[in-house]
Order: sequence, then structure tokens, then C-alpha cells
Amino acid sequence: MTNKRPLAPSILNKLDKYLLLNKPEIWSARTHLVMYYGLLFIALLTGICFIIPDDARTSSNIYYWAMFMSVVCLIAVIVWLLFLLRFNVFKRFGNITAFGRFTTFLLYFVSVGTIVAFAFVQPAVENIRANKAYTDAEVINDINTINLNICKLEFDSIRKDWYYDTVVVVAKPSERRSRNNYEDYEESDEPSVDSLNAIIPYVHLPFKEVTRADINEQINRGDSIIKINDTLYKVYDDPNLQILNPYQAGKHIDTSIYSSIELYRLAYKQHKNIDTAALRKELKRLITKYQSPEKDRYQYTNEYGRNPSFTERFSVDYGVKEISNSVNNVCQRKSTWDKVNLPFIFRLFFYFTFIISLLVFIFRHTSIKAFFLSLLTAFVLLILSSLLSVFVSNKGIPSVAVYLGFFTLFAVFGSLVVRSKKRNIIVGISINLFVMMVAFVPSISLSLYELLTYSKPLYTSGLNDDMIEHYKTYQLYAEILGIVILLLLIPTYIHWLYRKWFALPQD
Amino acid sequence: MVKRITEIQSFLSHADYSLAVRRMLDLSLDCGDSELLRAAINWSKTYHAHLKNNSEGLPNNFFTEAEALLLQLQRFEASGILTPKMLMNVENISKKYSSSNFSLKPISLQVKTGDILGIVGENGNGKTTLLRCLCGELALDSGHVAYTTITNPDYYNIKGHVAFIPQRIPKWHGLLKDNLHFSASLAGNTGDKNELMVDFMLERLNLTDYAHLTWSKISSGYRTRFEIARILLQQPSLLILNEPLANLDINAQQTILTDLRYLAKSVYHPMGIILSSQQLHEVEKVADNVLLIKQGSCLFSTNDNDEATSSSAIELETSASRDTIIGLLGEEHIRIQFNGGFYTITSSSFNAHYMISKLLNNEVPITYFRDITNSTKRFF
Repeated sequence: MTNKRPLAPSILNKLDKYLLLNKPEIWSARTHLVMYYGLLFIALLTGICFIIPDDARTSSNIYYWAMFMSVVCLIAVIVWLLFLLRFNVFKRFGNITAFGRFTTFLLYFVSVGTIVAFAFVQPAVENIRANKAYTDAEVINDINTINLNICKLEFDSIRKDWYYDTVVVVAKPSERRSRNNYEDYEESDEPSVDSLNAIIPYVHLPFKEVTRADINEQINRGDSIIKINDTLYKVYDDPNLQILNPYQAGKHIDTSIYSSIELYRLAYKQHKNIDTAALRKELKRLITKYQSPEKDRYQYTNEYGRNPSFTERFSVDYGVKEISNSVNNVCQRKSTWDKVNLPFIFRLFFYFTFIISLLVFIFRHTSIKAFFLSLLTAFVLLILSSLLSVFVSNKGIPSVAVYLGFFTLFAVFGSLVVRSKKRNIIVGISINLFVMMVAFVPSISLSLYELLTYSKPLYTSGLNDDMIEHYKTYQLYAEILGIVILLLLIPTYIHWLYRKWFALPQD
Repeated sequence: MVKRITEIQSFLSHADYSLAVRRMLDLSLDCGDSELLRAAINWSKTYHAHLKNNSEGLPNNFFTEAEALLLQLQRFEASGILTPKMLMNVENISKKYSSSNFSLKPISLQVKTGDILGIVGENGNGKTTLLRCLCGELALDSGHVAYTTITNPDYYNIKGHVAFIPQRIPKWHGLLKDNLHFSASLAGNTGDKNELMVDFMLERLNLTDYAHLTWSKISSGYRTRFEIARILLQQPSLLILNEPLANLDINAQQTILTDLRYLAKSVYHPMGIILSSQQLHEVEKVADNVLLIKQGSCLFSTNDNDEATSSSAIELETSASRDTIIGLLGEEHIRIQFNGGFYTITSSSFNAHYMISKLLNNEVPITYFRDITNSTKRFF
């Protein structure tokens, strides 16, 4: 309290003293210090990330930064733990209020979250800088201009014979058909059947089975589809005219880039009476704009492949291949924090923070021996569960069922503390594992329900978007429910279990 | 109250300033007036600052402030009465380790507020086992320990009220003063009261000069004293100390034991104390009852000393030979043992006073003498 902390303002020292004298539980968590120094470090890191020269067209350094910052986070967590472990109200058998019990875990979460946030600074700055350098409208416009100009210039060379396929819409594809369809999807880039000039009947067996959602999506995308009857469609596969098509583009950019059919229609309308010189000049300006200042890590050549498609030929001839990675880099940096990626990033941040906080919480409430034996037990059970799943045909159900089985076992063993006269290590391990698992039980139960209902995980079937969306929503609810259950149990049942167990005399 | 004030005045008049300061602090705490306690702490700081500077004679304001404090203390009349309450009732507890042959045989004892119970015995005879059983650290094989003042006696509450200081004190982390503030907070002393109580304890145990240091910068003796300060700030109802004198010098041993005696009988927060030690005589001086543990059994209790009253025993260090002593006291009246350093003489016929008088009258040179008739020492 009286020692001098570097860069600490007097208000922080006053807060520290106030907490020490009045709120020992909050003081011992050191969250106020972690937050202050953590935010200071984040500010410094943000400044450094903004100062370091970086070009949005170059490859992202996010992975190198992530590795470096993981080490920094690890060091920061260890330093925090060294301070945290000095004082423990629970292990000193102090009076802990209900509010104190509830806030303890949250304080750990905030502390760990502040530290884990270090790893997200560089991606955030990279995203801000990319968005500042290239607006969404600008990138969309540039990509569309490049593609359209090439299509206009090369309209006569574009292949006019479109591939098509016949599909049948079904409510729920059969297992066998689904598997076939899956294979069809894999090969759909190179359709093996039918062409506009072919004489063979367009209706062939077996029909490619698709769901209503797939058909609706294709209709929305504007691809050519001819309805034969309510369930049978003839789907045309238009030639790929997206000469420049960044695969890392975010949803906003991706949906705004002209599709092949749109490019075809626009080029068809505008390809006559074009100013070739002006189009080429515009193309050159845009190609120059996106040329990367660094040598591309992916080797490309200005030569055609063995059997080049016209798309590839255009790409090489107009220098688009040269900038495809640069444009992709720009789009990738811009889309890191978009709506599609944000849930993943949030989960990454949340679960890292949550699991570390949970381990710290358990460590603070159990004996050192019981804590490390719990980790060992969890590791051994994980291996055994994996082995079990190897020997059964259905991989999913046994894994989640075993998880729930173990959870029930630990809950029962943990509750035996009520009758214990001595501190039993097995009961201690059971309590620890019960606490570790309880937040995930709703999610695992939902998975089990899904597996029992649909025979395999919905997200692997790839056939029913509506159901997958519903499943995602339910999964989110289950995750939230798990956290809420844990937060409710911590100040009540879990605190009672630990209080009872830790204070028991030893043998 | 008047008696305690007179006692302090006596200490001051006989230049026992250290004792006067400590008793003044105790009395101020018992009065429950924070302003008065603050004044007493400041007065104590003046005294310790003077000691630190090694300056000649205490300043006049030391005595004027003492008078002023005593005058204020006279206003508080009913703060000096301690009513003993039963803290712990132990009935036939026993413990056997599965990993060794040692077992603690059934032992019964009682501890009240203000009591000091000394537990003595040779190494490896079960003192630590008994203490760990009493504080709820070890599970009992049989018997029962009733913590009578704890309303909801689950083990968490018990361990919150019964403090145990082991012989090897675990390392503290951070500043010593932070640790003390933390302990005071645990006892519910928050805000200004927390600061006041920590300042009181630092002054009371004369630790103020070391409070800004860390654990590694203080000696083992001071570590013991800081640990006692920390535990006392947690305000346990029963304090159990395992070999607290082991790391202390002779003066510090005496000071700590006297302090424990006073603190146990504090009106502000009376408590029971159980301590084990090898320093038999020092413990016996302050303890209300002493148990001798030998091979896991309670061999002797000073509260139940039938055997002791039937015979007298003295320790004697002299250059005279065994034959000389036997010749003077008579072989038929005494039993004499020599341990290499001093003689232990036991007699059913003579009391200690007679034996020492006889030897002195016959000009036997005596360099050390102690009457151990009522001491556990005679059983070693």
C-alpha cells in the first residue's frame, strides 16, 4: 500500500488503500491494478500498432502478433497470479458476503479479460487502418470496375455456352443421397454433364437433390434457373466472369461485388461502342493502385496454366492476378471485425477469458493437491473418452453422453461432502470438475438432443439453413444459460461445497 | 480500573517505561474510546522514537502526556472486568496416524476466556498433534471438541474463530503492514478503525519500525511477532501457538509471554490461549494450567498436582560433589539425580526451602537453584 508503484496516480493508490481497509475480497483480486496497468499497456500497444508502418495491401501480420501477444498475455497472467495468490479471504476463513462471493468470479473475469484483450489490439488497429485507407464503397467500386471493364473489353471472348444441371427439391435429403449430393457439391466447379449445345436430355438420373433453401438462395443470387415443375429445376451454371474475386472479402463487400451473371448482363449491354483506350487506362490505374509494395509471399507467374480458362487468361493478361492477393489482403483486414467474424472473435475472447478465470477461481478455493489432480483427472478422462469414441460407430453421441455421465458422477461425488468428516481428495476433485463442467452442460445437452433427433450434427449436413440458424440461436441460448447457471451457483451451492470441503480436518 | 492505573503509575515511577507504555495501550483499548487510543498510540510512538534515537532521559512531555492520559482513563470506570466464559471443552480426544505407530491417547481439557494453557513435552511426544486436533486441522479418531462460543460450529466458522500459529510460519508476501491491514479487514475492522487497530498492534508489539518491510527483511524472531500481531488482528476467540518461543531471544520470550498474558485477559477482546513450548519455566510463569504430554498421553497437569504436593523437588547447579549433598541432606530422605549439568533432588521429607537453607548454611557453593515442586520439569 505504501510502496511506490510506477506510473500510478494518487487516485489509484487511494483506491488501493480504500479497498484494502474496507473490501479485502475486492482488494485481494487486484482487479483495479490489472485494469489500470492493462489499459495503460493497451493504450501503449495501440500507439505502437498505429506507428508501425503497415500497408493494407500486404499480408497481415496478425498471426505473428497473436503468437507474440500470447506470450505477453501469459507473462501478464503469471504476474497477476503472483499478486493474487498473496492474499485469499476464503483460505483465511474470513467472512465472505453473498455479494463478495458473486463478485469474486467476475473480478477474476475482468482481470483476465483485460489481459486477454492485449491479443486483440493489433487486429483491431489493423482493421481500423485498413478501413481508413480503403472504404468499403471504394473497394467494391474498384473491383466491379476492374471486372466490368475486362468483360467489356473481352466480351467477344467470353464463353457463351453455359453449363446446367437438373436438380430436384426435397424436404429432407436421404442419408445416401445426401452423401452423393455432398460429393456433387465438391465437384460442382467442374460440371460433368450437360451443356447448352449438348443434345443429351437435361433430365438425368439420379437428380441432384437440393433443399428449398438452396434453391431460394440461388434464385436470390440471380443465377439462371428454369422451373420444370414444383420440385424439378434446371439450374444454369454461368461462366465465371469475376476475374478479380477476393475470397477473404467480408459479407458486405462480397454481396456488393457484381456476380458473374450481373457482369455478363452489364457487359452485354455496354460492350458495343466502348472507349477501349479509356477502359484500359482506368484498368491500369486501378491495377497500380492495388499493387503491393512488398514481394508477394505467394509466387505467381504471368504465364497461363496448361489448359487456361478464359477467366485465367484475362487475369494474367490484364495484371489482375498480380493484385489479387493485395486486394484480398485489403478485404481480409477490413473484414476482421465484421458481423460474420465478430461472434467468432467474441467467443474466442470470451472462452479464453472464461476458462482461465474458472481455473483461477477453482485454484483459489481448493487445495493445491486437489487442483492439480483435478487437471490430471480431466486430462485422463479426455483421453479415455476419445478412445471410447474410436471404438464406436457413431462418433458424436458417446462423446457428449460420456460428458454428461461424468458430470452427473462428479455432481454426486461432490455432494458427498455434506456427510464427510474428513477432507477427502476424491470429493475435492469431484467438486473441482463439477465446477469446471457445469457451464457447458446446457450446450452439451443441446448437442445430445440434436444428435438423437437428427442422427448427426446439423452443421455437418449443410442442407437445411433454417434449421442450422435455429440451432445456432439455441446454441447461443444454451451457452448463455450455462454461464447464468454457473454465476447463480457460485455464490450459493459452489461456495457452500468449497466452504464445507476446504475447512474439513485432514486425516 | 483504579488498580490498573495505579499499576501504570508504579511502572512509570520505577522507570519501567516499556511495561508502562504497553499497559497504557491495553487500558486505552479496553476503554473503547478511539480518540483516547489514538492519543495512547502517539504517546507510545514518542517513547519508541526516543528509544530509537538513544537520547538521554525521556522528554518532559512524555510524562505530562502520561498524566493527561491517566487522567482521561479515570473517567472510564467499568471497563476492567473480565467474566470468564467457557471456550473449548475437550473430551477424550485421540488420534492415530495411519502412516506411523504414534498415537495420541485420550486427553480431556477445558479452556476459558482469559486462560493460558501451556502444553509441554519432549520432541515427538504429541504436542503438535494435540494442537492440530484442537484447531480442527486434524480429524479425530475418537472424542469430541466442543467450541462453546461458536453459534454455527461448522469447520469454516471454527477455523475463523480458532487461530493456529504453526512452528514454521508460512512466508508472508507483500508489505508486512498490508498483511496486517488485510487481517484487520477480515475481522470486520474497516476504514479508520482498521488503521487504528493496526497502529495499536504495531505499537503494542513494538513493530512499527518494521511495518514497511517485507518478510525476507526481518529476522525469524520478528516474523513470530508479526505473525502474532496478524493473528491477534483477526480477533480469534482461541489462539493456539505451537512453539512460539523457539525463535525468540530471552528478553523477547519474556515480553511475548507477558503480552500474551495481558492480551488474553483483555476486556476489549478476551480470548483463550493454548501454547506449546520447550521453555517450561517461562510457560509455567504465565500459564494458568500446564499439561505435560509424554508418549501421547497427558502425564501431568499443574491443576491436578497430587503427586507434586506429596514430594518436593529442586534443581541445583553446584561445584559440590554428590556425596557432599547426600551427606548434608541424608541419603534416606532424598533421591538425587545428575544430568551432567545440574542435580535434581527429590524429597518426601523436606520442602525446597529447607533443602536450600541446609545447603547454604553449610557453605555449599550454589550457582543455580530452582524449586520445581509444582513444575512439569520434574517429570523430564
